[in-house]
Amino acid sequence: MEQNIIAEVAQYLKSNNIENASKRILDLAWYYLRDAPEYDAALLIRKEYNLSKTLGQKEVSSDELEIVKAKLTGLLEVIVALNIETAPPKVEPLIVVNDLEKTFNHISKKFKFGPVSISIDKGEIVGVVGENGNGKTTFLRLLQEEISKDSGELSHHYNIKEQAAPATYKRKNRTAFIPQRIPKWRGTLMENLIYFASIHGYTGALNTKIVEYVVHRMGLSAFVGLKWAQISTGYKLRFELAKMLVWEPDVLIFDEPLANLDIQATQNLLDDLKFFSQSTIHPIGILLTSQQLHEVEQVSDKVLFLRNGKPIFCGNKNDFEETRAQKVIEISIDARVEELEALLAGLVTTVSGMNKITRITFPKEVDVKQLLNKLIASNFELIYYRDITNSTVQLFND
Amino acid sequence: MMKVFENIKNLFNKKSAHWAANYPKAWSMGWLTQLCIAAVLYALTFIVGLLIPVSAVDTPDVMTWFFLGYIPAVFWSIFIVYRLVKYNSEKLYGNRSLLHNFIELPSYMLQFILPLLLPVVIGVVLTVRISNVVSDQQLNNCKIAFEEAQPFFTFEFGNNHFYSYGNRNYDNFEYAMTEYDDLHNGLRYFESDSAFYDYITVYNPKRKVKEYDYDGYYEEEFYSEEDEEYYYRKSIEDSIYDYRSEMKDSIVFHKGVFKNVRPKLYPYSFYEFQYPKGQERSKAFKGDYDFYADSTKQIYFYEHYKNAEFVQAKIDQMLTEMKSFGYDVDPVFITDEFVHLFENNVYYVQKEDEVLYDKLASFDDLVGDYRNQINYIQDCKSHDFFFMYDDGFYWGWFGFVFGLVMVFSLFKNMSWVEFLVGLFILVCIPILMGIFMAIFSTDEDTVVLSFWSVFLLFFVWGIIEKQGKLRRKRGATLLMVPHLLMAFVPVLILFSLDSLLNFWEWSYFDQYLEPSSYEYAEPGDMVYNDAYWKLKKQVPFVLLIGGYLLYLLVLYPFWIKRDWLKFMSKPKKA
Repeated sequence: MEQNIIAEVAQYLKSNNIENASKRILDLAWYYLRDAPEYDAALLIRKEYNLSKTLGQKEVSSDELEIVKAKLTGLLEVIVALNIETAPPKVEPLIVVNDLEKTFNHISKKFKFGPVSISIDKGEIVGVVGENGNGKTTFLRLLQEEISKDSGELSHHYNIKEQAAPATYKRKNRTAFIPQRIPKWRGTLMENLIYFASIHGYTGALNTKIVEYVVHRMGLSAFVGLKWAQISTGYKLRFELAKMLVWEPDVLIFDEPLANLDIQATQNLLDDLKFFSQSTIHPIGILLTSQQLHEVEQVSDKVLFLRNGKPIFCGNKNDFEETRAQKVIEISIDARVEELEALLAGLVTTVSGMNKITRITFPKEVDVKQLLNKLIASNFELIYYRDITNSTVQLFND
Repeated sequence: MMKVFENIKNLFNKKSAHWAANYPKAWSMGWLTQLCIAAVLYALTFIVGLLIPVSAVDTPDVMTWFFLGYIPAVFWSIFIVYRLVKYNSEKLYGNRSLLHNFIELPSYMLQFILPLLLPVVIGVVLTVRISNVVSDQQLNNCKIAFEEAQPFFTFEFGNNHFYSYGNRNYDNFEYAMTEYDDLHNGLRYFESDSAFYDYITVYNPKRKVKEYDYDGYYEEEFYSEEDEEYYYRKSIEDSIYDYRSEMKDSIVFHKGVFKNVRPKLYPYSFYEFQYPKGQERSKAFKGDYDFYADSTKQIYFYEHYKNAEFVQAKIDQMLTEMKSFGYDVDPVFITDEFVHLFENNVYYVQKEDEVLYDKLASFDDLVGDYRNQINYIQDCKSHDFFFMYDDGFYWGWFGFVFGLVMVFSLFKNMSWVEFLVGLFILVCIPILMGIFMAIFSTDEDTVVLSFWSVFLLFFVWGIIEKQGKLRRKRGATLLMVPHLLMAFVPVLILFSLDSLLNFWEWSYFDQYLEPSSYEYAEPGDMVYNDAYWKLKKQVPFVLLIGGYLLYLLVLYPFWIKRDWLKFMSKPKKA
């Protein structure tokens, strides 16, 4: 597992990607060299990088870049010398849901959620997708036991510590929940991080250490003294995640985290989530909702697609293709549907267009390369292509 | 200067981070912040106390400043609430241990006591400064000179300036008699200077006591020592006792002065004396009481009043002390005037004699002010302000803070709406019971039964609600009402027993019966003795405090807190 990360870091260094290289090396140092001077060195590099935010970009001189790269390479060599071999985290269910149902009897609209059956396992990301108002947030609130279920089973399998509190409280003590509208916090970012860690038992030197790690790891070094009104929405989200990571919850429930992020921030966040879920030190289960299907599917192990509260698909994302009779691709091309139908006649089942995206359905026996070759050979300009055979995005149009 | 503030801020932030990381509970309760605020505000209050001008003739009113101290204290208390709500680890589902449950309420209580100490700081500073404005020796000289001279002064009353009675007794009262004296049997009474008092208390050296209502009709007349004892007891129990001393205007009636003056000067001061209780009473009564009341302790006799040189010497001495105190007086004029009055047997100056009257009135004001200053400084020297020595005041504080903390600790576990509804219901219960009583004229027993019915209803309903898996809006009210009443259950059980079963007349208390010797009853009647009355006063108090402690140390950490954590973490009925 860690060997993959080491290879990944080497690749980042090769491509001068200090952002990711410094992040991953700090992670590895946190895992395996926490009490060694190398960890402090990794932390310092990451901190300096965060504070400058110029390393790896044009403004920085090649000399400076080489110095940082040399330092990171040195740290990487120390980590490599440790010869770490770890197995992927064991698949252990954290939350198991069976036939979970909930009905809202509003005067204007009746809404029924479920029945949904799914498990959120350790080291796994579950993506909950679907259009607005189809029950994604309801599902999260049910899992967080914020609202009551009508029927079905909901069981938590956490490693709960001894506490003078009732069972529900203890479960919530191990579940991190980040709502779509991030609640306003008071005080500085640093105060909050320290506080969140300490109220969950991370006190003393451990508190300082884990807070420092998370702050610099999450790129918040320059923001620790700031308050709510002083940081952007994207950083608020990042801070909210940091607030949860400092106390190492068993499950992280994240409602629409990608809604306000740019492309790069989205990618970074998803990478981080994937990384934290599969941490060899403390793997966690993550459940997130989003409408950005492609991005979510990219990191998810399981996908739950909801429509009108009903699970249209629920399972491993790799199993989705098996449920489909035909292959589907999405293209953006300067041709009309009729022209494409004429061009691909005999190969495709349907061609449908919506806005500037055209969706082409074709039998599984047909090789996608055949289609692409035909399109490229034509006089039409192919701008964009994506194979969505294995993506639940198809369900939006079903 | 800015750099200093910056350094202080940085130091605070550093310490704050240290506390947050190492003592999360104490930090989230805001202890560091509150202790810093306490240090700053106490220091500021201390400085303000030092800056207020103090002199022997112009002393600030300690009680006014004491109550002014409550203004910042109120704002501070509001900030404490804000700070406690700001970091509510329970709503964040932070770790929870039994120790947390134990320390929570005592910690809150200590925090809320911090602002309440703010008025004490300024009170103490001013008291100490005022008490040091003149030396003990100087003050004693002033008091002695004042007491020895003041029988020869006049006092303003109505349209006349009368002579004071001084240390009147059978030897001198007839010469100092005024139209306001009752001419029968040497009985004397003095009208209250305030219409707020609707009775007049009468005393004479033969221990004949009358109590008059406002219209002048007496209600009781006692002639024996035992009757006086009853009078005393009655006055304490009904809180109607008030001895008016305006006739004499002496410093003798100030408690603080009483402890420090020569007893022989003050034959009437036994009214201020705290009688010993029970078996000690008769001994003490014949000891200290008789000592103070002994007419042989008097210092002046009729011949003194007739001796102008003697009068002049006493007045001169007082005026000298008064001048050393800081008052601007004209000794020659004043002495001449008084000696003139004495030599001519003028017992009062009428308002028509305008010039002299005004001069006397003006001097009277000055002497009154002087007397007040002596009293006030002596009070400060004796530390005799209620906030300094009255344990009832501190128990009042304790009760207030306890109630505040109880309500706040429950509020932390619910929403604003749930909290307000709960409080509303809590306030409505006694109002509804009051209306019920007003309409149906129910007796005390019915009220007690109604209370228990309400309590048990909420208690049982609360238990049923607690078993439910959902957090309903009504749940907070159903838990809050019985929980808040729980601290008072022990004392309420006692009141109920007394109301329904006449608890205090149970045969167990027969051991406290004794033949009547001083009660307002037939001699030989069996009446409860002092030990019984003491018990009757102390038991409810002990039960009340016991209820508080039971709540703090047992009910809250082991039961109530867990109930609320359970309630708070339950899923809502959506």
